[in-house]
Amino acid sequence: MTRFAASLRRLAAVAIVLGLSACTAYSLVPPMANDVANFRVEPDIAWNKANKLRVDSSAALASWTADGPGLNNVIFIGGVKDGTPVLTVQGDTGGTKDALVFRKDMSPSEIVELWEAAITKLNQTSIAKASNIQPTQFGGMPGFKFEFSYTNKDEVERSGLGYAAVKDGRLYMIFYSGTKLHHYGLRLASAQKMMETAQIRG
Amino acid sequence: MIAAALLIALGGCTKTHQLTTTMNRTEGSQPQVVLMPLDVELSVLGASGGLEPRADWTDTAKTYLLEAIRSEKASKQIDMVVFQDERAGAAYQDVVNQLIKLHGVVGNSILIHQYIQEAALPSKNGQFEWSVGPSAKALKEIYKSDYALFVWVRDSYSSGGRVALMVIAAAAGVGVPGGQQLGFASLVELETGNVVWFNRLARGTGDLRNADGAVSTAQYLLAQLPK
Amino acid sequence: MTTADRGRVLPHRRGFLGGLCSCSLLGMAACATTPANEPPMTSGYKPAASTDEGGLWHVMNRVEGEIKRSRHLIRDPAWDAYLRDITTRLSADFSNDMRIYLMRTPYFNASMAPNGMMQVWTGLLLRVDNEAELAAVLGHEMGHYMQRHSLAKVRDARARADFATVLGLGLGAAGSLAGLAVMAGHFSFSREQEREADDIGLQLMAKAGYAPMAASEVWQQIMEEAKADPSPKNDNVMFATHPSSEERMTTLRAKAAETGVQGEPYAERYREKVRSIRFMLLEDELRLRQYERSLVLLQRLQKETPGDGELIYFEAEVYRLRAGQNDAKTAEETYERAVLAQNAPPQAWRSLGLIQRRDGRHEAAGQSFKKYLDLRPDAEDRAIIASYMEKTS
Repeated sequence: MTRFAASLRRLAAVAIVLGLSACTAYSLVPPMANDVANFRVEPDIAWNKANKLRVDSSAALASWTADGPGLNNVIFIGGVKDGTPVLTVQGDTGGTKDALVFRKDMSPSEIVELWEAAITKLNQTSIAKASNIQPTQFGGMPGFKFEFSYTNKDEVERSGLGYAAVKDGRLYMIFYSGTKLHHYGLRLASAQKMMETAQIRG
Repeated sequence: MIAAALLIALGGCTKTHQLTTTMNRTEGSQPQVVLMPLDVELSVLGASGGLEPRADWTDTAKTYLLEAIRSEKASKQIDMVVFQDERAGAAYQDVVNQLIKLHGVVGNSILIHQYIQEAALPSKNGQFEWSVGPSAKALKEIYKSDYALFVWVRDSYSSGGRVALMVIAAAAGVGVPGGQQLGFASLVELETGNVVWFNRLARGTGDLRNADGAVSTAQYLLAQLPK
Repeated sequence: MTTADRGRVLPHRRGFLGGLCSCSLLGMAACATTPANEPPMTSGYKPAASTDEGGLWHVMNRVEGEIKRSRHLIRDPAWDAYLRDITTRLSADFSNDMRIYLMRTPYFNASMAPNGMMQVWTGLLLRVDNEAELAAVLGHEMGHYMQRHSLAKVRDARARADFATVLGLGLGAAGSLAGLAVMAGHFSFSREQEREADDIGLQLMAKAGYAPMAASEVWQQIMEEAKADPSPKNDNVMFATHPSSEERMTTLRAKAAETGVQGEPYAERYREKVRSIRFMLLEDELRLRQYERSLVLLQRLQKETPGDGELIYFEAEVYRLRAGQNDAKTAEETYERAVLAQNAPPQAWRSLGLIQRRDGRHEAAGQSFKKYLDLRPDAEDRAIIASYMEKTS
């Protein structure tokens, strides 16, 4: 099986925000109440949790996929500390750290801006845009949601939907994305329901 | 009309997922298949052990492979039309481009998650369920075809010519000893966008820079293509 | 990445170009900048498929196919026409053999492939002050093309069994940073080739009525931006592939004077053209979060058009996003200048409101947000901005 470790590494370029390191395994996430990255969520379909991530954060992190990380993906970011980057790529020395810093006094508009910059950096793309930011309840508190659109090196357009809130000075976000042509829509209802009813347990 | 049987062909250097052994067709005619642009990349194994893509070899391989696929299909009695950029027209251009790119991602996802046990997606429970989605109908409109055939091949050779088992590597360019020519052929049902047949090829011989090598690769790739 | 053919030149032009082969000036036995034994390129030229040049074109044609499909390609007939006008003015003959692709990538780059495919990245459009500077870059690339520099490089590389160079041609994905490393490493031409391309570019500019002095100005800018960028990974592709030097600038200036042509910069015409997409390009630039580099850019742009509310707004945005020690204060002052200036975007009020809100001045913030929504009733973030205002009332 190690001969395909090489093709796995090739796929790292295909993964969206959270990539896979070679030979990543997945664990089954059954459709029931789940504790993940300082959230409690109740998915109505089975998902697959990535056992190894290539990004770091001061927050607890998790990444799920339904159909494969190149096709759709849910990222759980459970509590980014004030003054720390929302995400950093492991092994990246290129100044990502300073540029993607979350501050607790950020408005939703600024947090979404930050997310645009994060997607831009992580996917090395220039086309990343959020839209339709709306206030909404998230995790039992006043938060916001937003839509997203981006295209990276593989030239596949992807759509996204994020829910977030700042609680006790920490950022909590769940972001679902998938290929615009098919896989985003395929699991959107399940993902959205899960995000709308998520609880923050941090 | 579709004999939905999940068959995994074992043995040899190909491994097939077969959701159907026959293709839909209108009464009395042959199945219509559009051959999508070949996604092929040949690389050279440098002295340092790194891999770098060779555009000229790639080009040659594509030409030979296309010819080889054409003769293969002739023996299989299917009507095949070759994809042409210009046929999409303004209305479909974007969708068709995205379909091609998306299939690349789907195909690679299948290679990893369906064929490599450690990378399996437990939620799928061993089922073969992959799709580019109903937007594939656009291809049906343009080419009047019921299916699209995608071919993807990655291979590498030493700069002195292919001698023994060659090396396959990822974009990272790491040489893995005992590597292979890696490829797949994928048949997509255009009404739904579902992948109804997928054949993975993995072998250590065969030189795509010449016609014979391309012929044998094409034969392997299209073995057990639904009729 | 570029090839050049001498082309079907008019007799008087042949005189120009014939004397410009700088290697002969250096007294070298053979002209190493261009491939040996090549007949002059004529417009409409297509190499025989079986030749190495034919193979090269074939490969680049495939790359071009990918670029046509790229989502980074800006499909704008007005821009296509504008860029084509420039290349036609520079050389009507060769312009017919070229296809021009404007790629949405916030880095300074333009390139021409051996088969006549020209790419211009949107980052470049922000970094030239006038049409003459743009023409200088395009003319320079056309120079590489007309002299078949890429083919010469490929043959040279093959002779040295340097496969890395051979393979590198254009395989970096269009508009992607992944291609930058490939390009920087493989696409640098020799100094002689650069000088040749400079010479040809200058001649084309002079003949077309562009100010030849613009050439030294634009390359100077490229150098300065590279110096100003403190990031360890220098994303200045243009600089990486066309190493500049004081010597080169001096030569360019001297040769510009030698043409005896004053020419026009066509600044206003260019600025008007860029204004139509400038907002989007500056947003792309800011998303990179490379504050120092963006400030250099914006300060230069403001030197050209002082009092432009849109530029002042974006400068303020850099301070706001950087959020360093006094940056909030600087940002606020700058937004206040922006909203008083001509063509200030409504977003300036929004950003002002965000700063005031963060500082606890909710009433002022509410007023700023109200101004924003009044000016932009169809704002895509209306709902969230309104929610900020609720909290203030």
